[in-house]
Amino acid sequence: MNVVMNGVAASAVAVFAGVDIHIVAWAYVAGAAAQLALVAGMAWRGGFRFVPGFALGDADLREVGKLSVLPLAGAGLNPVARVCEQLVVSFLPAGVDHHPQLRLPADFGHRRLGLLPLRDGDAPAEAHPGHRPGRRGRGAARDPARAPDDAGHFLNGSGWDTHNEGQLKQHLLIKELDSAFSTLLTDLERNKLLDTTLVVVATEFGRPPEFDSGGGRGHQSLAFSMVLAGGGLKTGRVIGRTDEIGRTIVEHPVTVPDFHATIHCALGIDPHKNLFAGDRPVPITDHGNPILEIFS
Amino acid sequence: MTAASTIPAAGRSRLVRQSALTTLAAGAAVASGLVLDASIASRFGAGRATDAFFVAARIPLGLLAVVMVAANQVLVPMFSTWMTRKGRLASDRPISLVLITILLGSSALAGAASLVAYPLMRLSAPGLGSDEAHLAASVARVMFPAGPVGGPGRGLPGAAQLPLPPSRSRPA
Repeated sequence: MNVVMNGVAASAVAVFAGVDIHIVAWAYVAGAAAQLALVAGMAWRGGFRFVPGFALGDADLREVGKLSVLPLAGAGLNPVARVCEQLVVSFLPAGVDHHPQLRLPADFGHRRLGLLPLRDGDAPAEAHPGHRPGRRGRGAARDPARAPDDAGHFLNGSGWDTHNEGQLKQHLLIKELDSAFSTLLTDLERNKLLDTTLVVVATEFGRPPEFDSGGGRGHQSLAFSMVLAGGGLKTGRVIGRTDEIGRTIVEHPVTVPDFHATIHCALGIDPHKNLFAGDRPVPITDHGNPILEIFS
Repeated sequence: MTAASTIPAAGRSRLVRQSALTTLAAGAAVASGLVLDASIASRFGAGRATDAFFVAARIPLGLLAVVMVAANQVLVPMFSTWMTRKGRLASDRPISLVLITILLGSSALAGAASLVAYPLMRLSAPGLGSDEAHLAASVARVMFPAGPVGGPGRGLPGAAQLPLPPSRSRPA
């Protein structure tokens, strides 16, 4: 019978709505009325005759009550529980810490980290010995707050998309990254910004150990590495381990949501907090848990 | 002898027809609900008004869902028991009483909910902003009467699905 209510409501929305959301609500009521009329007509046609009159002391009403108590309790329990569950969930305030194992240091709340611009007068560090960066590498190393304003030219011709022949000169990219990254860290440290700046080197996927048909490397989601530096973390360590060819994780897996949660945690943001789109809770990480050992 | 063979041919065909109709009606209800949601989404998109509407609709539609389950799972066996004890023609009275009870109960509930619509919206959707909560409350005041109107509509199928005698055999 919902088809009548939904159909009338959908028709009303299609015809009248577009100006005011109240029209949709009226459409629901109109649909419910249409459904009631239809069902009443069907019941009448089937022989049902409405008997008016209602009194609390009515013997028939008492008997109806007795007959309905047990089935009503059994049948109503599940939907009532679901409604109650929804209400209880909606009462939960945003940002409740449901993960008591996570306890941040007391001063993390005000340690909002981020890429901080160099202060006026701060001279950028000289490039790391042996650094001959491409244009992107040089821009990133000299001012972490400013994106390079010119299009870069990767030394291997294809950038980090190392399929096919792009693989052949990957070592140039690695060399460039290594030099730019170390220069950036040295620069931040020298300006006493490293403890309050979290540097993240991340990727959305890795490369498999074997070559693809074009001589390059394809995509691998099973295991890959990412780097965190600075941010007051206990860095200088490797978390997790793969097999000897880097195909699968064999020890201490860290998921992408865990990595995101770690970044949020380092920024002083509760990674288990929900944002709200209207009344819909949207978790800021996909239920990730931070890597606790790099905070201790 | 199987159970099916004990049912007369006419009864079997009626059973099959009723089952098919029920199945079709359930499928059509789901499809029409999808069409309704799609039409709301296409008209209003995602935003303040849609959020307010769905917050406003949560409680009245949730209560209607409770009534629907109760109607399906409680009223039919209850009316059947009554009919077995007192005869088919005597069942009009309890059905009417149930409908009146649903109507009175849902009217009282809707009236009370309309009075406290704004705090209800704030409680059921704490993430909603003040403007959206006011909008949701005004939409909810329109939606709440869907209970008194739709409630008996959910209860009556219980009566309509009873093994009624042919209407022409019944005194008018």
